[in-house]
Amino acid sequence: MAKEELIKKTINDETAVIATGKILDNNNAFEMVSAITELQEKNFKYIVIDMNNLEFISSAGVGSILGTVENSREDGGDIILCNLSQNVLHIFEVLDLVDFLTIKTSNEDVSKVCGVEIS
Amino acid sequence: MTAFKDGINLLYLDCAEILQVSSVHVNLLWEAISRGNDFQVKVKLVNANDSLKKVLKVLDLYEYFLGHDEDKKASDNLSGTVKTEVSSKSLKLEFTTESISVAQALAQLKQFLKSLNLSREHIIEIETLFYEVSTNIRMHSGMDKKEKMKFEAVTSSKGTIMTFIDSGIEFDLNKVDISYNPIRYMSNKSISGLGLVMIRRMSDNLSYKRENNKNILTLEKYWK
Repeated sequence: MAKEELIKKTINDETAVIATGKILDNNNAFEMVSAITELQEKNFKYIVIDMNNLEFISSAGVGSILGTVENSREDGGDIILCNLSQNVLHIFEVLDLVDFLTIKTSNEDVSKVCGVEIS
Repeated sequence: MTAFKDGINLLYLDCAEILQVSSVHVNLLWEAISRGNDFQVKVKLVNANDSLKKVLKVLDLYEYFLGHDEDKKASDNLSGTVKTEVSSKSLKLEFTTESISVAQALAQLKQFLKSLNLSREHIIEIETLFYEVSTNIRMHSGMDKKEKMKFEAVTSSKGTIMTFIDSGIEFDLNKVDISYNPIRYMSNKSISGLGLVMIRRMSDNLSYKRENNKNILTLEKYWK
């Protein structure tokens, strides 16, 4: 599939948002890992993955989030997934991940976790 | 309609994008026939969905536009790196293991699934299974990127059966470690290895055999 750009946005010193394109798969999973790792190295506590545009996520896409979430949690932060479509959420359900990942349905709910407004 | 002026005698119209047939489509088809007659060009349709086929039958245009064999041949010609054979209940694809071909094949599968009355979850799981298995073959089978693999999806009253055939290296399904624990997976900070877990979890039945130096993997997905 065509490579899709990730859009990064800093909210404040602690929180940053990565917005996905339509697809998160083998072609751009490594980019997601790099983007998350870079923000973690810059000490961003909360990394919000905005999946509003995401239509398809493969195992590599899920792995890119799963493999990096512990680093944030070890530093007292978290990776927060938000605006998932039913199809994308279903993939996380199949893998029994819904109870282990922080998944929020709206930016307002994300704001409650990060303590800052996400627009 | 400028295609009629280029000295051709047969024109295929790809109808994959026509999901709901409107009067605009019918008018365009009439226009195509009319212009085709003017230039002695036969017009054929490919990738027509069931609703378009019904409309063509009502208008007594089915045979003209959609002889079954012609439909199949046209589809083969049009699909480039992906060869396609499609009927109302089955889809056969043949494509190279390049990333772009897998994406094109997935698009064909999506189109086929759209024409069936399936649940959203069934569709997303079939699409995901297709992507995960094809990507696994693409990345781990050792096949040349130009070599082709085959895929077939057949729907029945029981569900959907998918068969993947490739000429890559032999593998033993029983030796694949699919033990999976989300917490352990996160603790290990691993970013790979979830594909087979997804394939196992989304399939209701999975079987593998090696025949004539080919891997034949069959996945069954039942209606829930």
